[in-house]
Amino acid sequence: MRDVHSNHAVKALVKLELNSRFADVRLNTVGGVLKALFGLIAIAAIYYLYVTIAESIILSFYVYNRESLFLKLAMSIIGYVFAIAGISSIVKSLFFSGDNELLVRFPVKVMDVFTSKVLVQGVFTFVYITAILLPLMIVYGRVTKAPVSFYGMIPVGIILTWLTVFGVSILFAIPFMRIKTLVKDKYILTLIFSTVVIAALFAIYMIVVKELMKFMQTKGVSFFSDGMMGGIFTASKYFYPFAQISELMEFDNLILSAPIAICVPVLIAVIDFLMVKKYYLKIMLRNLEIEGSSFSKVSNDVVRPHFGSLLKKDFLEIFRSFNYSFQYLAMSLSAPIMAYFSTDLAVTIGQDKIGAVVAPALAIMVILLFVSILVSFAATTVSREGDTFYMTKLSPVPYNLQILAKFTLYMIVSGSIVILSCLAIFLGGFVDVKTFFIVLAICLMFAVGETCMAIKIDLTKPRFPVGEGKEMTGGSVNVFASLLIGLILAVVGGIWAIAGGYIFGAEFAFLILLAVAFVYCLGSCLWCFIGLKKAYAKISPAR
Amino acid sequence: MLKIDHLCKKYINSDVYAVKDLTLEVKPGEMFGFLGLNGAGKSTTIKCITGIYPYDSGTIEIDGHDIKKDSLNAKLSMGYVPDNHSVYEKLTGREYVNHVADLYYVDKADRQARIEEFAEKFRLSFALDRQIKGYSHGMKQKICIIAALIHKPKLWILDEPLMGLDPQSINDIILEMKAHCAQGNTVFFSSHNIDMVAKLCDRVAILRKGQLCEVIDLHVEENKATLEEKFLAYTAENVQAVAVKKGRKARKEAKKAQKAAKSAPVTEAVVAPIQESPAPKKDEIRIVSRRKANKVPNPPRFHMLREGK
Repeated sequence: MRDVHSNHAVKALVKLELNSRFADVRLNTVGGVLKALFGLIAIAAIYYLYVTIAESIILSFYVYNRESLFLKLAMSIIGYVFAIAGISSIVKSLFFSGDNELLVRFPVKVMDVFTSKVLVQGVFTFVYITAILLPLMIVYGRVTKAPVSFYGMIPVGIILTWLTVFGVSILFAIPFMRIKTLVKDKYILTLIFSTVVIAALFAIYMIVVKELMKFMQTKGVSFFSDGMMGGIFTASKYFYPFAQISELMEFDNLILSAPIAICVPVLIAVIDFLMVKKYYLKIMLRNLEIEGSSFSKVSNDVVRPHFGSLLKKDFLEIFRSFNYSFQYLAMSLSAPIMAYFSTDLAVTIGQDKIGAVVAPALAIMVILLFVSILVSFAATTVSREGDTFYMTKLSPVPYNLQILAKFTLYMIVSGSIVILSCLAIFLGGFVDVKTFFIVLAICLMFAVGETCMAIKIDLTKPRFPVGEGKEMTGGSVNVFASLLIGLILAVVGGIWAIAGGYIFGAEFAFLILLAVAFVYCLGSCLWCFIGLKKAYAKISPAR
Repeated sequence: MLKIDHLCKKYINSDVYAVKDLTLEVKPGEMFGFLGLNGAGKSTTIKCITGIYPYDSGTIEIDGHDIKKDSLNAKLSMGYVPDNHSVYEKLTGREYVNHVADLYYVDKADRQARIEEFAEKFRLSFALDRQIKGYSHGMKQKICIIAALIHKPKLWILDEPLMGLDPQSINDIILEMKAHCAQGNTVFFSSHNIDMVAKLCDRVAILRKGQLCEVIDLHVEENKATLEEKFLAYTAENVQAVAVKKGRKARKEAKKAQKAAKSAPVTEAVVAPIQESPAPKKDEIRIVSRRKANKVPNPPRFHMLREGK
């Protein structure tokens, strides 16, 4: 009887979860159908591109008789990336979907709540992994003329990869959440820690790639040389358990690969089960409790001008939020380090082939790419205010000044990123003094333009968050639009600086870029600030 | 102090007016109640007054300043307490009030005195330096009130201010509302508590489906006594439904009130036309029958709590 009740509860909760995920999908309107249709066309196009690229890479490995290594590398990379990305999804789903407080009030066992959330998350993970791995494996089989047994092993490979990925995500999600509850309200500590981790991981990654490239250049070996392949082959043995899963699929090294490929997911599942049983409820309740708790800070009654007061409020709203602080401040603080290493790598690869002009051009592209990513946060300017948006309308302060305060905050951050990144590149010896100032001016003007554009995009159609906590934890259409514009500008600007510099000379290319940046900056500012009152008047917060 | 003239507001993608042809004037020193069922247009009207919602036609003046044409001065003259007590929860109570005080040009001496005064009055001194995120419903409501009053507004607008508060907090807020009016200022608030409105207000407006039914002067004792009947008469879907609930005497009152609402304007008020009530349906009458109304739902089960053992 209890099992029947439990099954009903899980079914109901799964239905609830699916309804909340697909609430936006409407096929009963022309707009909804068109949206779905465009989505399908976009997916088909991406798929076509993916399969074509995969086929050519597999062919390259096949020519050098290294196809098995490709399968190992591909499965390992896909497995690890999914496992890491899955941690964030599982944490959001288990602890921040906004319904935990509601669900614990229902006559439903907590284990059922966990199962329902994990089940939906698991199904999605399975669909994504299958969507990525299945075409890859079919193409692999076709190109390498694999035996029929390989095709028979594809479902086994996918299921084992999925189980491992999903198990690892849960394995890390619960301890991560525990640590998060411990460091709550320790904003500076969290910010420093996140910044150091992001910067360190990125630096290590870039150093490894750079050394690899240098090794290949100095030794004059290609990626497929025996020495290179041998090294990668040795390293790939340690890509547990994905390398072993790929071996199992090809019936290779069965004595070792079969037990590892099967035992690792099983072992992870057992650990997950024990950990969930012992800690999930405790951590969930603890999180629910501390979500509502707060810190104390004695402050003085200081009089500030409107601008200063708005600036301080906006900063604290970001700084005192774990999500926003991580998304924006930690990423921004580590951006100059990322820009330095990326430029270093790009110059290492490109300088010999194209010439000295490539260094500042690549620096511009790299800095603009990072600026675009970080400035896209400004595309949540109005949306982030959520229920407190009424304060904006109620305040006896002109909208221009309110937006100017927000704009200034973003510019302090993105301006600092640009200045520090340019300094890092200058001190790294990639550009001279004159070029340093030109790159700085171009990047600063683009940063101003992109910030204004992002703000205006959000102002035009804000998407106020709903649910518990009411923070914007996922990307919105506005963020995507701002990001897309920024990335296109960065790539086009970078390509022009390289190609234009090569054809017309560096000075002319930078002059044109400087002029374009100025026009873009001015145009965006005018677009953002003119007619602000009218744009604000149109916004109606939720009823 | 507050002058609304032929206000009309329609939401985007809606064919129905949320507020239709509303005309109203509230005087200095007056406490004015705003009654209506859920969805009658009370909050929409308040949000139009405060400048939060744009509106289609009509004018709103606060202390002589048009909310559209001279919005900054109009906003400086009012303080607003929202129904959802939304505040910047990442800030501490003191940081939030100081931020609002900055926006309303309150000097240091005044703000210090007022913060201390209000914090003590509303028993919030102990939590003033705590992050608002950890406040209870009542505490958030109180910090909203302190922030709304920090600049001593001439017009204090409250949207359902007493919902979910404990009796002591309700008393604190009522005392402050009275004190605010006693200083020559105006209090305009919406509520569902008819008894309290009858006791507190000088005048009250009843809103139905976005239209003003009547403005009732509560200085007239008879009006005070019959406020609930009038409210029910205006807002009930049909007279019979009220009658089932209230008995013969109420039926007479309701019929009388509804007749008045349909025809004649009341002193100092503009009465908007009321739509003809639809014919009563059987199940509508059944809904208000005592038997069903008194039926208590089954208590919730808490199987899941066992998990916590």
